[in-house]
Amino acid sequence: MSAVSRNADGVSVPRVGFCRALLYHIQWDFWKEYLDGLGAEIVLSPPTSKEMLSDGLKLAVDDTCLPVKAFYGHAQWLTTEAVDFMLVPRLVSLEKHTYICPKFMGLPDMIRTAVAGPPPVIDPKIDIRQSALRQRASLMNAASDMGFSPRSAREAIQQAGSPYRRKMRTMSSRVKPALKCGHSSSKQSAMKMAVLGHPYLLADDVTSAGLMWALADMDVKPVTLESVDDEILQEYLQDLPKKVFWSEGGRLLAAARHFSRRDDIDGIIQVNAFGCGSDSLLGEEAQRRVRQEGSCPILSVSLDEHSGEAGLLTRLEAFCDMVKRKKQ
Amino acid sequence: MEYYLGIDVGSVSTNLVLMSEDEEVRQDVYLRTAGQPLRAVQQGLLEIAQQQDDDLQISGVGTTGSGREIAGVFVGADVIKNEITAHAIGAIKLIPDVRTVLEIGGQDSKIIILNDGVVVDFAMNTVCAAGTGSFLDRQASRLGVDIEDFGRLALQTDNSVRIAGRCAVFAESDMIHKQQIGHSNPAIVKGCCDALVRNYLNNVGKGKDIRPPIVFQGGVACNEGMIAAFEEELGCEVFVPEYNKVMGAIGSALLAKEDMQHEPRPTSFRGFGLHSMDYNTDNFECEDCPNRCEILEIYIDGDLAARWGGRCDRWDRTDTVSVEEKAVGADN
Amino acid sequence: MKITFPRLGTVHVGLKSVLEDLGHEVVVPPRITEETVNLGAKHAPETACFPLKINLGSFLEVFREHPDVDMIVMAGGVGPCRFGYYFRTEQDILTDLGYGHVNWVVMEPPRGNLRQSLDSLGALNDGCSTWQVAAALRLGWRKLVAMDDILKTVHRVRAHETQRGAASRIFRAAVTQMENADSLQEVDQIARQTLRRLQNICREDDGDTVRVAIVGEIYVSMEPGANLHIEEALGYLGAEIHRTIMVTDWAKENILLDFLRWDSRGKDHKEAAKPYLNHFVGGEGQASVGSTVLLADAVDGVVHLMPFTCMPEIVAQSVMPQVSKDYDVPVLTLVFDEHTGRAGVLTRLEAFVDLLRRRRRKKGQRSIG
Repeated sequence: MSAVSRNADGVSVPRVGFCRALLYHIQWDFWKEYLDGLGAEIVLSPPTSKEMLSDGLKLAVDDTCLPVKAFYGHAQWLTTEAVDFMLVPRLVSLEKHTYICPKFMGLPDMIRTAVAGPPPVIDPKIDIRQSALRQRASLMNAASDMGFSPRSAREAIQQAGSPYRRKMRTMSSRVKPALKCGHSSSKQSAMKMAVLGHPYLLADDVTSAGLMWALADMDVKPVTLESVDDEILQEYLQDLPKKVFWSEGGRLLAAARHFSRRDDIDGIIQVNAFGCGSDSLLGEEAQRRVRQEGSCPILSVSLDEHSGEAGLLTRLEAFCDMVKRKKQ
Repeated sequence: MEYYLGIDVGSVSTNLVLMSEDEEVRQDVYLRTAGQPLRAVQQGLLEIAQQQDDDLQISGVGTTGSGREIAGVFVGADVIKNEITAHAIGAIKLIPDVRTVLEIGGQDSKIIILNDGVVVDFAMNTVCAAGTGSFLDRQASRLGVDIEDFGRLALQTDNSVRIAGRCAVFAESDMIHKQQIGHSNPAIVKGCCDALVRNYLNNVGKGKDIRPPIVFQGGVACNEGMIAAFEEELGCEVFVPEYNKVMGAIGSALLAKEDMQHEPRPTSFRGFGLHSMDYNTDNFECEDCPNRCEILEIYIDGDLAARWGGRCDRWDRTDTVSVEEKAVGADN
Repeated sequence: MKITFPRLGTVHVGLKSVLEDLGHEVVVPPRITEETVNLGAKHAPETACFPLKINLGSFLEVFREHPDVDMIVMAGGVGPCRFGYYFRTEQDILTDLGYGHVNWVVMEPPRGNLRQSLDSLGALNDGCSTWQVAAALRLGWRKLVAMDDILKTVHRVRAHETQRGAASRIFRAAVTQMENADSLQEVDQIARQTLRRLQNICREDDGDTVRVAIVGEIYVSMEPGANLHIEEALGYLGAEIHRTIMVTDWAKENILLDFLRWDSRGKDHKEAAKPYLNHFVGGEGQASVGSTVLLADAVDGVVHLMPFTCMPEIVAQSVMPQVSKDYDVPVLTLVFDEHTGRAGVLTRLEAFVDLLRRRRRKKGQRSIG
């Protein structure tokens, strides 16, 4: 495959690689519009495969979480695609006074170190704590590092808009296929369960060990927090003794409380990656609050590369059976 | 001729090596530790004493391995060193310009990276059994294959069954599954070796700069299937020393020699007579400071021979501090 | 009010002094032991960080002996490191265990909310004049500074002590004396005396001393009970220690000077870390990398300490191999939690110090030849 591709005018344009993992599941729409606006040729890694995951396991430090390990696998895959640049945005903050997770903040540096001979890693920073001007400058610099003119960069940023807008909505468009798969037969699902987990875990069939599909097979309609109005979640968040400084983790906590009060939800399944920092504290807090709210059954599953699919299925089945019996 | 004794007390095996001044191995002994390190050391001393002349002169003794401390005070070692250093020294003796040492023993594994005869990096794994000898032993007996033939079996086929090797429990259930759906024993054994090598390289070997010449030692290095799997995965020749099972003991003897020549002194070795002596161990908690160290004591033929385990040197000496003083606390 | 607070290195020496001078009764948590760790691990979330588990275990030990303790003072934070959320998790667990009556005074970094910080300070002052408060803070601070000086000396002399354990004994005595000191003069006198005693116990440097930097997460770096006393172990192996963060550094950055947004030592570290880790990642992550770069020439090796699942240090650990390679400085990363065995850690440390010593001799030979 030639590294040089040309646009309609016959001008060569850089091939820019992007990993279909982690922040892809949070704000891909923004980056796609940005790269399209620049006129770059986008090389998006395919959905996580077992081989990519096992590449990632080799490269990442043992104690990091599974989704980060998968990200390494995607980056490794891109190095074989003769891309000119790898775009690994540095996600710091998407909401005032909050962060995502330290690993997102160090991701470009981690990839530079671990992946052998990567193409230059371009790492524009997304940080709402910064002024709009600085944010813009970061995106302008990234474009110029990839060899685009200031003019095309300005247009691209204009076209992509703000990286902070309605991100949860754009994510849900990607989780949807998985959510839909179960009840395509239009058969009324027997149960409705809230599935709470980071989008980059739930929307990735390999890192989540096919959990969404398994639930569908069990006649369970999974509901995620994307179906809940953000205002409702914010209301719950305001009600906490200390402001949660992880925006995504806080939402999961709020959603757990919200779902536990809803009559149409039969149970809550918490899905977290082993070693996830925010989930280790907030997950437990969510369970505690759900228990305080009343009787909504809650199951917590933790995923890592050692957990076998069979064990996960057994746990899900047992939980669903129990909930079903209780319901009847 | 002067001789040096190297003793490697591991959780699974206890090895002794008698090495001459010109660094030739005169005798090596490989024993099961079986949870009784001192009993094993006694047995080893007995075997050496039986084969050697009565006037054998020992000029220095070194101990290593997880039981290096207790074995060291028991025999009166001159040098007590960790197993990383001992194994590295042993490998250098074989191949002076060795860059990588792969070591897989009964219950642990390690990797040592050297440059110019100096250890520059290392890692060890003592948690997971999936990459160690005891796992292989278990699988051999489950397949009904003698462990001696186990590795050779892998060489009989080019077919390898893919086995999940990240964890001993999953690897085993995966192997049972493959057996049940009718794969041949050689293919399963080869798959098992491949998985172990992958597991080793992904765990202890992660991020390590593995370069030839490579030495493979430890009990598992006898396994021809493992050697082949390493060579295939690393793409270069892997040397297995003649004394692969006792390399820690050899390194330990070399360290003893080096140290005794660096600082000449009479050895503290208690002599081969130890093999028939009675010993017993005792312990108490020192209440002298908030550290509350657990002090271990060893009595040989009824006499207090050594104490160890304290962070300070309060109990190190056996001659001056009497047992009564334990309660008093001589500290000011 | 009967007050307790998390135990961390020598923090209690200064904090106890301040709180007592403000008229409170203070219970200093007992030393962190295996039992503390087990108690905390039993009640904390499984993958919560190790410092949180120790903290929790330590509070439970306090309540066991002193059920009447009714206030906990601790630091907060605004992320992204989990430390800022500790008190919420601990509060919930302790409430479940029947200690819901406790008042929590959390010193949030002023950056988060200046008003809240002043309020929490106010909660601790029960009728003392501004002058009295200032004097109490001054004495407590002087104690912390003195203890840091003493500890730095201990880190150096332990490698040369003629009698193993002597430096530790002197240090422990100094802690007790310092806790009871009630004037600035007394603090200075104890410090001078202790430093003199420490100088007297060492033999001459034989030129074969290995120097090791300790970098990493704050709690496991500063609290011996959390790191299986590795500073002592390194000293006995003949290694001098240069620890990059001391109690007063941390207090300055996180509590006192934070509102000025002034890093007392962070600037250099940040600059040095940039080629490898170009952004703040919470906790000490970036400082661990930066310190390694800055100290690469001054030490023979670096020991990097982190609690299991620590997010900022995982990022640091991920980029450390490149730093180690570029600066030709060996780095040993040690991960701590309730499952970490002392024997395994000691073997690694011993092998590491051996490695450093042999490297050093080799270099020495080369430069002579």
